[in-house]
Amino acid sequence: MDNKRYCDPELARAHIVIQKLDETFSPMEALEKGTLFPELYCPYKYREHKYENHRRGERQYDGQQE
Amino acid sequence: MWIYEKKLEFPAKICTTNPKLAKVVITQYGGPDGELAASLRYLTQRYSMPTPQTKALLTDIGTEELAHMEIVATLVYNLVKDASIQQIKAAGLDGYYADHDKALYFVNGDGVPWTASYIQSKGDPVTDLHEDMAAEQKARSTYEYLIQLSEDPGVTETLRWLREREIVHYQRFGEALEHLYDHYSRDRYYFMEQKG
Amino acid sequence: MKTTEGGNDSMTGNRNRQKEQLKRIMAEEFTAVELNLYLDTHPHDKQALHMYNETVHRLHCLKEEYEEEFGSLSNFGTSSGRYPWQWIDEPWPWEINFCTCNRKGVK
Repeated sequence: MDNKRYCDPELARAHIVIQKLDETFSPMEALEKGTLFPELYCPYKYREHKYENHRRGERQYDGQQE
Repeated sequence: MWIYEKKLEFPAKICTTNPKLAKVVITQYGGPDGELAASLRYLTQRYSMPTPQTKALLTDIGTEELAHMEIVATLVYNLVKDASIQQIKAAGLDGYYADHDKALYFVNGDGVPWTASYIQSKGDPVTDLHEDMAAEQKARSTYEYLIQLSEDPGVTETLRWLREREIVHYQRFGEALEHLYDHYSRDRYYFMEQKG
Repeated sequence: MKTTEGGNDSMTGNRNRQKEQLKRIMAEEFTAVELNLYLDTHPHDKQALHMYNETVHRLHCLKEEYEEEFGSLSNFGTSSGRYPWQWIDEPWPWEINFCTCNRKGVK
C-alpha cells in the first residue's frame, strides 16, 4: 500500500460526521423502529393515496412523497 | 466461527398469501443488492482490513446481514407456503416452481441466479469501504421500491425495519472510513509497506 | 404455522407466551447489536460500554427464563441440552409469524 495515494490536501473525499452517543430509544421502541438512536431514525415518507372514486380495492400512487 | 441463534432479529410479520409479492421480495435474498451479497461482501473483505476496528465492524455487520437474509427468507416462505398452483401461475412463478417448488433459492426478482460478480473485495481498504457504503445505499433504495410494491401491511413493516438497518450500517461504514483516513495520515509506516 | 397453532387453547396460549418472551429477548438483543456496532467504531466510549454490559445482563436473564421452558436458543455448546434433544424442536424461526391480523388462507 502506497501512502502517497492518501496525501494531503485531498480534493474529493467522502466525509462522514462521527456519531456522538446521546439519547437512546427504549429496547422495545428500538426494535420497532430499527435503530437504538433517534438521530439515525429516518423513516421512509411514503404512503399510497386512495382516491374515493377508484374501484374498491384499486389503489394509485400519485407520485408525491409527503 | 459462527453460532446460530434460533430466533429472528426482528419479529417478522406476514399478513397474506401473496406469491406475486414474494417474487419481488426475493431479490433481497438472492439479488444484486440483497442480504446474501451484503453478508458475503463484508465477510470476505474483512480478511484484508488493516485495523482492529475495521475487522470487527465487517465481521459484525456481515453477521447481521445473515440475520437479515433469514428475515427476507421468512417473508418469502410465508408469502408462498399456502399459495395454490393457480396463484403461483398467476404470479408468474411457474418457472421458479418447476425448478424449486416452494423452496427458497438465490435469485433476483426475474429469476436470475446469484453470482459473485455482485460483490467486490478489492483489498484496498478505502476502496472496499466505499463499495460497502454504496452497497448499503443500494439496499436502502431497493427496500423503498419494495415498500412501494407491497400490499401486505406486515411485510411492509418488516421491509421498513430492514431499510432502517441499511441507514445505520451506512453510518458505521462511513465512520470506519473516517477513522481509516486518520489512520493513514498518522505516518504508520508499518501498515504501509510496499508489497514485494 | 407448521404445528397446531389455533388448535387447543393451551397450545395457543403456550405459543403466544413463547412469542411474547421472544419479543422481549429480541428487543434487548437488538439493543446489544446496536451498541456492539457503535462500540466497533467508538471503542473508547465508556458510557456506551456500560449500557452494553447492562443490556447483556438483562439479556442473559431473559434467555435463561426462555430456555427453561422452550429449550436452547443456540447450538454448538452455548447452553446445556435436555432429553429428548430439544434443539431440534419446532417452531423454527421462519415458522413463527408475528402478524396479529387475520391471515387469509392459513390453515
